Amino acid sequence: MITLSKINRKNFFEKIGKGALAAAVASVIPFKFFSSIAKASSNKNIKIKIHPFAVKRNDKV
Amino acid sequence: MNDSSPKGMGSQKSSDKKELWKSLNDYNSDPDVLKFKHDEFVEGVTEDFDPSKLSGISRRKFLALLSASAALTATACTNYRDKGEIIPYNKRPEEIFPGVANYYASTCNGCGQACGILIKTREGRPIKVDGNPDHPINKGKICAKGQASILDLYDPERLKAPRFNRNDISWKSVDENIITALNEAQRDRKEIAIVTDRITSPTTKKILDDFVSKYPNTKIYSHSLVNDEQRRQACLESYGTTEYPSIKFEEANVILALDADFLGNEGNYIENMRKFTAKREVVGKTDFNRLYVAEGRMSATGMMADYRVSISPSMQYEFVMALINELTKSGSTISLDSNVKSKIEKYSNSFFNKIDKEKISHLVDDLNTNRGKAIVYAGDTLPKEVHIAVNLLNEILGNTVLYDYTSLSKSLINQSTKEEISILIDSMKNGKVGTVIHFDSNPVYILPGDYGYTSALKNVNAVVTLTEAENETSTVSNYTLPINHAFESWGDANTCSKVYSLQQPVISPIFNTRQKETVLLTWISGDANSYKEDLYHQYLMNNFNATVFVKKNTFADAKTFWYSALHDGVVLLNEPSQQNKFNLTAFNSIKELADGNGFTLHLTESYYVGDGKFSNNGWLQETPHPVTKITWDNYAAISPKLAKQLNVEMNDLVSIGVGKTNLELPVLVQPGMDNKTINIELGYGRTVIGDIGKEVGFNSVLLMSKEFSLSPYIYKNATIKKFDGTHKLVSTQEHHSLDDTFVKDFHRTRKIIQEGTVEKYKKEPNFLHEEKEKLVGITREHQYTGLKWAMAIDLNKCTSCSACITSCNVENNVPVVGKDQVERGREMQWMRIDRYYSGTPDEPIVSNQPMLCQHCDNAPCENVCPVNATNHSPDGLNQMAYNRCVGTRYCSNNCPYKVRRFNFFNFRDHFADAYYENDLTSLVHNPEVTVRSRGVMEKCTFCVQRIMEARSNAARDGKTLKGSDVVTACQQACPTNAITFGDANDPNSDVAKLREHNLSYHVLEELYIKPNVTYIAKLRNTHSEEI
Amino acid sequence: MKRTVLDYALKIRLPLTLFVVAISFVLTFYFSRAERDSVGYKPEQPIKFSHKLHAGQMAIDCQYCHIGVTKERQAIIPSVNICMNCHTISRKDKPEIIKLTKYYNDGNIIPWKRIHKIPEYAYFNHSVHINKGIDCESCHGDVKEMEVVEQVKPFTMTACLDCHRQPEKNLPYLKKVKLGPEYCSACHR
Repeated sequence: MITLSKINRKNFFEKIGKGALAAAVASVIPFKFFSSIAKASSNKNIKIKIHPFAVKRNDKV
Repeated sequence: MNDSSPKGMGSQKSSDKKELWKSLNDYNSDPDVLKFKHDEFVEGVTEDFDPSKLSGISRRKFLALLSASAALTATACTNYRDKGEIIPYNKRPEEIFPGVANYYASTCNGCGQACGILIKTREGRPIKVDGNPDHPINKGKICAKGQASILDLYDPERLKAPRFNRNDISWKSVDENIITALNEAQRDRKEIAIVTDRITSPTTKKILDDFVSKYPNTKIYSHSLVNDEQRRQACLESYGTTEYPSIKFEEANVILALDADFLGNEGNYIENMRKFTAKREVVGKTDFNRLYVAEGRMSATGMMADYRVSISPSMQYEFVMALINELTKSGSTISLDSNVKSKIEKYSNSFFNKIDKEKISHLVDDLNTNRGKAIVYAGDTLPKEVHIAVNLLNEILGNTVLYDYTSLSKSLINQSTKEEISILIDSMKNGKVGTVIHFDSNPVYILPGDYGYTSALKNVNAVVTLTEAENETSTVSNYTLPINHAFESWGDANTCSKVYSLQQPVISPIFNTRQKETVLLTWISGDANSYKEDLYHQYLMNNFNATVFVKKNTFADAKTFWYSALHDGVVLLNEPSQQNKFNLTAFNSIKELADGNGFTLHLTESYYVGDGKFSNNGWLQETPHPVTKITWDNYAAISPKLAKQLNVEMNDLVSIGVGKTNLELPVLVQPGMDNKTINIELGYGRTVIGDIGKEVGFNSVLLMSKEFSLSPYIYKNATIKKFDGTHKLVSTQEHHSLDDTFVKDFHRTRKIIQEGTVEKYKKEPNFLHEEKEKLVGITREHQYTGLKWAMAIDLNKCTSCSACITSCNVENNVPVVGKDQVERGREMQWMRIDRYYSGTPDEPIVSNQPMLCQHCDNAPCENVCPVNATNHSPDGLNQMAYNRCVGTRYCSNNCPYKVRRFNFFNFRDHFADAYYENDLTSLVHNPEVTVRSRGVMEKCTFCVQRIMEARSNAARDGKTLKGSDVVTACQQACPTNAITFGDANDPNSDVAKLREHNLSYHVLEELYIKPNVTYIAKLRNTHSEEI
Repeated sequence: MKRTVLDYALKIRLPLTLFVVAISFVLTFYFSRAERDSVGYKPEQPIKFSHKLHAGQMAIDCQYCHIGVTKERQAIIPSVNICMNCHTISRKDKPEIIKLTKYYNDGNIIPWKRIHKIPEYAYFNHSVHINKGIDCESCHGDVKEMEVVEQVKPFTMTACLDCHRQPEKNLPYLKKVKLGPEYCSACHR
């Protein structure tokens, strides 16, 4: 017998399940946005400059 | 009644009797009110409701469309095809060809030996350091410290700008303030003290002399934690000069090393290793030398010994005297007077019974038969008296022909004596010192505590420290001035009389640092505005022209000669050399040294951290100790008998006491140690250092004292007691108990280590292959025609110096994992050196074996990979595709050598809170090798990037690739050339010949996995045929 | 048995839905292949450099600018000073050249949009290919006719291996050509 109380219980838990799935998916999205922003903006504050008076030794290229 | 008007309150038939009415008009049923009630809205307020004019989209539909288009827009927001930018130079510097490496010759300043190096740079940044093949001393090889020193250039905690009392300050202000302070000190007749470490550069010495000329109150003090002062003082007394000759080990048939780690960490051990192994060549002749080691601890040299006896360092004096007594019985090359004879006759050969009668009798015989072809060598840490006695012994035996007087070890500035330093400290305490300049030195850490240096500094007006990174001295200084790293600096070195080497910067200073000599030049000029970055470069060039160029009669002009010297990195000098006569009074007047009653503490320099300067270098901290394989720590090493006596095991804390000071640190049970010796390494326990070195190890400098009876490194009458608590020591190799019968000599029964003796090899050259079984395979095997890469490692020459390991780390971007991960066996080094003991815990025989991926033909790892990430190339390499690997770890499970390393974390991110994951340290990575992330398996690739580059160059030049075109990183680094690499299918190559050698074997050959790394068995030069 | 809603859903709706989803996925996958492999990717560059003019009409050799292509792994995008070899004088009043000169004088980098890129775990070596006689057009298409450079071939591993396994098909102008390497470490290290 499917009583009203059982249907209410079923609906309630279905709601919780759907809500949990939605929350799980929604929680990941902001991270994807932030990580793409963060990767784009890594400032290279370090300047590499060779020393003009150093004498190198190489095989010719 | 039919009423079209809506029913409700207030709408009533006009004839109805009203029960409720709102107004009088309503009561009277005014037609306006009725109309008003009829329409819900007043006219003109709303527009006409025309269903046909309504939008076709319902609200529901509209909302659905809106959300769908928003979702689609979001997905379309990223241009998934975008590949970023590709950015060339704006003005490409002539020297840089992007993608091609440049090499610069320079000089290493990791220790005082000044080996020549070649620095490899890519796009202007240094990525690898190797030896300079043109340097006559190290001949193309450098040690592990030199290899890993490149990481210090990119240390994120390097000082980046000058500081004054914790605040930032500009260089100009610093110069002005210091010049003022110096002038004040001159005016007030106060001393100016410059405290340096060892000075190896003649030009720096000249600058210091110029400084003294400008500010005459200046006194220069030089002190290094680990030095060879005892040897120099002995040489001064014996021969009248502090410059001692190098030893021709390559001509010695018998070598007696007394607490001398000449193959491990003393002198120029790179040169020593090469010379020593010249007489341990198994290809061709077998004219082996014989190494006797008498030491208290187990050193790397001790591991190489043919005969080893354990003797406490405080007993070495008696030992040498007894030897002199015994050997003079058979005659002496120099004439001895009666004073000598009366001095030595107290020491009879009954002393030898205390050590090991049989071995010493062999030693005496060998020294007698090899007079003039042997050498007795005492270690740097032994007292001066022992050195003088050893000098006499070598004179008696005529071994001085092996002294190379063309190659003298120079000392540009003598180390300050105890008295000089004490006077300085007294002056400081009395306020008579105006300025103290620490010239790239760390006396607060390295001076023994009883000097009281730190508290004396408080009375000095201006304390200046020039240093690369914050250290114990800079935190108590007023001015902390950052200096250039070695790779950003000009310099020169003259540590050996026959070589003058130059140092050039391969990169402009990355931060706001200055060359320390240029800083001094600015202060000498007295004008803060006179600073130019190029000052020291010009000064160096001028000094070079004045001192070196004029001596070489070349046709070139000065400028050309300078450039060619920079290109080569070295200039050979022909200094006239003379052999001095031994001064017998030196021997007759030496103080008799007696052993103590208690224990003897022996302090030695750390193999990889040096005197503490490399404490913040993750690669070096993680390189396992050559003997104990401990990482990230130091410890008190004691013998098994002593451990049992004290009832301590490994990791238990003990309290070592010398005089009034105590130090608590963990114990390590070291087989083969003398029962009364405690050995602790120096260079650990630094308190002011970057995050890597912080709280690593225990500071044994605290046990040093300025009042020593033997030497600064040997203290007798030390006490050792068990202390509560434990400290986990982390070793990369398990200690199999030597007494456990199951695992005892496992490595021999399983033929992992196969060894023989020279006697046996002479009688039966093929003894190793006699019992060889024919192995049968069950699969169809691939035939390798064409080039097939293989490697051969000669175990006769491996001293476990670990230069190969660090070179591999740098070349292949191997991450540092930290102590807790090493504990779990997750160290990521692709190559390791296994150390096996056999024999007894008191007299162990030690075997070393470098182990790396064997690139097996029938590799057990290849056929179990579920995604085929690892397979075999047609030229014999076991290759690894990182992007395919899913991290099953089945391959590592199957590997019998356990050489596969798994990235359990993204170690760059995981180690020390991503210490090495920053823009600066990322510059050290080799761009030709993938930087691996979490979840992939990695292992030695036989430097496939170098193989591919050689292939590319051969195709470019139109040649065929030869095996000798490729040099792997480990092969390039090995100082003894123990590693050979090449084409196994080329019958003329060294590797092919070694594969067919009588002494060749493979590890775990019986598994028939056909490894391609051949080991040449070690031969021990003992008198017997059995080991 | 009584037919329930679930019965209908499972027997009809579910398989139908799955089939539709699968078919649409597969069709989209295959038809979008070229697009996803960036074939036809033709981004706008910061300066309107025309290969058709320089390499085609003026017949400047590829290697005048792309100097690394016979020597090492990278082909090298030319640095601005190579452009200025001619453009300090030639057409220096034209708007694009003015833009170029501004970059040069200010010392700024020109952020060229990258078109041909393979993943970082694969290491491609230009010099080996050029030194074996392979022409630039065989992989990069007829760049001499491109106003704006676009990618004409997919640079997937399959595409590379196809040519490695059957080089005669793509390189008809070479008389003798060996098979290219098929083993992993040729490209993956």
